[in-house]
Amino acid sequence: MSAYQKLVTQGQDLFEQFLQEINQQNAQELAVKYLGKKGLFNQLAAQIKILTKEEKKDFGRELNQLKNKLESKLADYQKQDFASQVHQDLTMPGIQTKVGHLHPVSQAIEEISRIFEKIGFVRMSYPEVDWDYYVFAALNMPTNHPARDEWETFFVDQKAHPSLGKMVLTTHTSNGQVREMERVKGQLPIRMMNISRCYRRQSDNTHTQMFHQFEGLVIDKDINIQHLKGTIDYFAKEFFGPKTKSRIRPFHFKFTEPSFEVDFSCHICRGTGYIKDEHHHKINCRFCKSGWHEVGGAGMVHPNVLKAGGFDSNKYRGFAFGWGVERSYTLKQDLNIDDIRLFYSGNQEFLEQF
Amino acid sequence: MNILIPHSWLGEYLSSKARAKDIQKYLSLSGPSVERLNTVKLASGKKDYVYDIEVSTNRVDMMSIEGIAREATTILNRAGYTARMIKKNWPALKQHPQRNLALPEIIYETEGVRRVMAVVLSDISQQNSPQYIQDRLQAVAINVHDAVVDISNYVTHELGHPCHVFDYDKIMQMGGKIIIKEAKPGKKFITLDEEVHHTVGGEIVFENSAGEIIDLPAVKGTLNTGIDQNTKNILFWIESLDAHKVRYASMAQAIRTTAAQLNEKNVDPYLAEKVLRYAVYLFEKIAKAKVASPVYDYFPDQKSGNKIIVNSQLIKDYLGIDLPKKEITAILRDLDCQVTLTKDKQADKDRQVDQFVILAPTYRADLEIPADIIEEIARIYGYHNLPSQLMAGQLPSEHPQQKFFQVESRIKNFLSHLAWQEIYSYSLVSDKEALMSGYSLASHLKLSNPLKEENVYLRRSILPSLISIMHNNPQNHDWQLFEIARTYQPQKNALPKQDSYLAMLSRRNFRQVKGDLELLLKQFFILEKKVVELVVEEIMTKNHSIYQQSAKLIIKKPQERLVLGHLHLFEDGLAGIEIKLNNLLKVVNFYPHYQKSNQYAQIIEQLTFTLKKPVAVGDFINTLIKSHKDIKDFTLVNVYQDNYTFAIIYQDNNKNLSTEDVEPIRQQVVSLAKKKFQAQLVGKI
Repeated sequence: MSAYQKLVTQGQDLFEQFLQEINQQNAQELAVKYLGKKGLFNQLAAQIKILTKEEKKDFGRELNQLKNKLESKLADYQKQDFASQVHQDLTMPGIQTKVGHLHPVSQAIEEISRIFEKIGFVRMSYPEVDWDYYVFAALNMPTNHPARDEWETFFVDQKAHPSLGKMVLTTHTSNGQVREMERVKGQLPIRMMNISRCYRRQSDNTHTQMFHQFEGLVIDKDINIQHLKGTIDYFAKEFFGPKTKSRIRPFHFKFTEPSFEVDFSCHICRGTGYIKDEHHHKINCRFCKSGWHEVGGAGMVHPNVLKAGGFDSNKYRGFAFGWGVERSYTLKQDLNIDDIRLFYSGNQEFLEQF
Repeated sequence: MNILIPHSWLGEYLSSKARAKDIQKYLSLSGPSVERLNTVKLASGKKDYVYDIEVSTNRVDMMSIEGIAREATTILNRAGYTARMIKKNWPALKQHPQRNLALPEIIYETEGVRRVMAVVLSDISQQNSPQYIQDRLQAVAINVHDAVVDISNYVTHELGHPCHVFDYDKIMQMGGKIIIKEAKPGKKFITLDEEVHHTVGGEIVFENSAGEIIDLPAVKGTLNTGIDQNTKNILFWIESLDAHKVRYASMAQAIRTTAAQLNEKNVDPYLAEKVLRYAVYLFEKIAKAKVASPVYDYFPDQKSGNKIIVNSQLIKDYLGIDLPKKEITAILRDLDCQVTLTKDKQADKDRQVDQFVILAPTYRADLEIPADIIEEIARIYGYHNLPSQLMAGQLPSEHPQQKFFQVESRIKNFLSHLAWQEIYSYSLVSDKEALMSGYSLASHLKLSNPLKEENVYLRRSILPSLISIMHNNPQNHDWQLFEIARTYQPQKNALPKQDSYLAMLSRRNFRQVKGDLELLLKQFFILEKKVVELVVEEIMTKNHSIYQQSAKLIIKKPQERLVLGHLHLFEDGLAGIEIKLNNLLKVVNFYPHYQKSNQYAQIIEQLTFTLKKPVAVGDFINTLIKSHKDIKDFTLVNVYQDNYTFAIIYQDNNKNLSTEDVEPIRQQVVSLAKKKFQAQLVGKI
């Protein structure tokens, strides 16, 4: 037997010997005996000097493997040791690791993004502080147009740009429309989704100075109203559940023609517009308008907007839609948030429920 | 704009068996949105349904009982109901044979007048309106006054064109002239509700010959010519001015009356005649008035309705279905459009595309381009009748910002699982929070029209907002917050830089915070022992700063340094980190460089060094770990006063190290520690 084989056998013998000795009480003690600084394995390793360079390498590896096996055996016994000592009260409450919480707006944004990614939308972002041109003028809303009244605009105290106008906080995500058209430089299709902070000069329990909108823009050949309807139906069912109905109604926005208001059916009154009060009397549903929730606007991109983005409105058409993230989220069944200012309150009690 | 329409009043124009509920439903689907259907109990004891209808800004023609009735008739007929529009007629005006009062002289010094109609009525008998008028005004939330005022409000609501009543005698006493002109700035006038205003200049006003303002036309009357209880004779007046001018005056003076809101949206001047006849009819009947002058009518620029040509293919392209020509024509005719069908001569001869030549009614100035006509066809046909389908076709192949959103989402999820609470705070901050960023107020962008004092500046740093939130929630002693948002760095003559940052703020020890950051970097496989490391370089903080200590967080690679962001310690024991996401994006990975496991034995030992102040343990470790190829790890395990204990792992890639092999490496570590860091080994080797 070569010196190498002898040492290897000794190692294996040591392991066998350990297996004989180990029981539920002596795991700690054997750990020192075999693996300690002056333990049996280190004593064996000290004999390595007598081996050739090649053999040293192999022997080292062999010895390591044995030590690993021994360690894991020890661990098993130590576990059993513990288990055998105490009968566990399995009805004891679990001990929870502390975790944080994703903000509800983030949760809504993630869900919305996923829904639209599935049908090929590409998420983009654009400036939150932008020029009047992209927020209004390029969207067919010239300066001083009454249509701008609906957007309670915050202005930044800065010199106006000679051609792009005043610096404003984006009142909607639609500033992304012409910016996206400019970015793709004629390369179609566009299926863009923009989810961003928006700002309007208003504050009450359904409005905050800052809120989030999401915007979809599709431009291609052969796009028609049916596709807009299809996209909105798809979202309503994905986000609110398969029983949700959606509808589009005529409305007016300067940057779309035809323009629509988008409604989703109310889950509280089941689309009837009525609920029962505590005396079982039929009363108007407080949460919706006659069975429907208005969630936002949509429409076929106005020829002037396509033109501003460099597209020939005779060849291409598109549709766009945009609505509030918070508003959509608070319409989730049984969520019960009736004051959207809570989202930005930084209130721990509120945030930790999400 | 919303308008209230009582069901009984609507019935004067709309003949249909459709119930109020059905009218609500179908109007909403194809026309203006009926937001509510309310039941109202009137002072007279009667009950009525009142529709609360939102009318879009381009459809001022629907801001009346008549307008809604016209829309409802067209829509109901297509929803399976029989509906008919009832035409109301009033007699033409006849001057009373015994009355003859001269009209004031009207002088035009501006081109902003589209039409003026006026007539003098004498012998006004002041009294209350009849009950039905009072009831209806109450139902539509208009205050009831006396008959003269009520009639002008009533007619405006029914027909949709504002009108005004002057005290005729006051006008005549003030010189009998109405000069219509653009105001010079700084002229005083007092409105009917006794509010004092001054012109900003450019508003269209009426002045008398002495230059006094006697009306703010199309917006609000003035006190000096308004009627009062002594009024005997009135000048009934209807004007149509340039809509931009009306809006300008109304906005400049912050007077937002119903009249202004209608007039600024291009009310059809052709309505004036009907309004005049109806109002005079009521004045005669109720206020016993007598027509005392001829009718004045100035209508310089009579325009017909818009002409629009629409190719039938375009209609199909928008709708995705082929509607019969007959149906298209019928819909447009129902909407009072004149329609002629021709062939598009420019189109392909074989295909013979039809085109519709449409002349819109004057009250539909909103119909301008083919898309407007297509909207009319589609909505009356019924959007709900169109199929719904997702689009086919190619998908975009580029996803330029995908990496950003992927990283952002991963950070948010990872940190929240590590017990960090995500926050969304306002990007607009107070002056105090703005200053906490370390930047002066002048280097912030500021709103010119803030809504609240605490939201004026566009923030340069997210941390001050998180600090405020932390202070508002003092109860939790280990709360940790993070937010990902943009900051706004002003640039000269350009939009601000709007980079996204990750901000983290914690009440825990900074080492734990830094540890979580290191874990985050590991999530993105950024740190690699001995190759890519996170280095901290302390920077001097200014005395006035709220930071007690600050440092740059740097990713250091063999040939490269990248400043990721900053680490700050605040006076009240808070630790904060701010990371620029675009910089992080430069170094993130989505998978590791897999390392084969090293089979050779490791030798692990602990060494304790005494380090002198100021200590930079991070640098100490980073230097020593790299001092020999066989040092695989060098970690701090314990600190006791000035003594720092490190666990060192020695391992070679090609052989098992012996104690003798380790000896010289250890010597090297100890001497380098002494030479470079004046660190003294505790004990002996």
